[in-house]
Amino acid sequence: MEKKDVKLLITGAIALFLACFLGIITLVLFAVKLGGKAMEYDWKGTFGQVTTQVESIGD
Amino acid sequence: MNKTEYFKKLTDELGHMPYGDVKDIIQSIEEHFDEGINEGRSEEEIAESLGDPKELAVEFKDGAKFKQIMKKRKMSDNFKGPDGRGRIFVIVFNAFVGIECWLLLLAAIIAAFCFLAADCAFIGLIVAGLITGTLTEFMLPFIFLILTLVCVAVFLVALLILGIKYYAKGLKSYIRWNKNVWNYGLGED
Repeated sequence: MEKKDVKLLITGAIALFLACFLGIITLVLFAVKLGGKAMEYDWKGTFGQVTTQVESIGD
Repeated sequence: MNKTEYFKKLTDELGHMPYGDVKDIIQSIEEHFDEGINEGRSEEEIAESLGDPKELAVEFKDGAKFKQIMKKRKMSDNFKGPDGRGRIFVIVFNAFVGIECWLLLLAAIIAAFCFLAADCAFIGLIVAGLITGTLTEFMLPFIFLILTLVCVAVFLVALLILGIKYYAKGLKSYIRWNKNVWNYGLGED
């Protein structure tokens, strides 16, 4: 294997490592952001509305 | 043609090869000349047995080593014609293993190309989304996603360059090996 190829192989390996590392950070950031959104969401209101609708169908 | 003349012609023909390779070739041929002289042969006889310097240079340029060339010459001198087993082996091996393996590798290279194109398209879409302001709420995660995708693209480019280079090299030597088995048999005798 030529020296040039070894350099390219090392570059690829570093890029793969960084991709995995940054990928994990990205997933965590998305989870935090979406988790925050989910906490803010008015679940009670939404489900309450659905419950009322279902009850009105039953009547 | 004596040793000096032979070397001059050969080095002229090898002109464009890297210096280190030419040095190795000259050294191995010099050893061959020394061995021949020790066995009592003349320089002219040895030069004649080596054949035309131009043809020898072509073989070296194809990547063959001196020992391989001499082995091939010896094989072709003693060769009485293919016995058919080598040809059957080439056909069967290529039909069930060889061609399939090379096609599979080619498919992997094409898949990597498609993956790279999709990766670049995705980067473009996210950048466009960030510029137009549609993704501002998730700005930070998307910036990290772009960085991740850029790293994936760099990895794919490196993989593709190496993959294509060694695919071509491997395919070339595979074809050479097939030709050798087709012409000279399996080589057990």
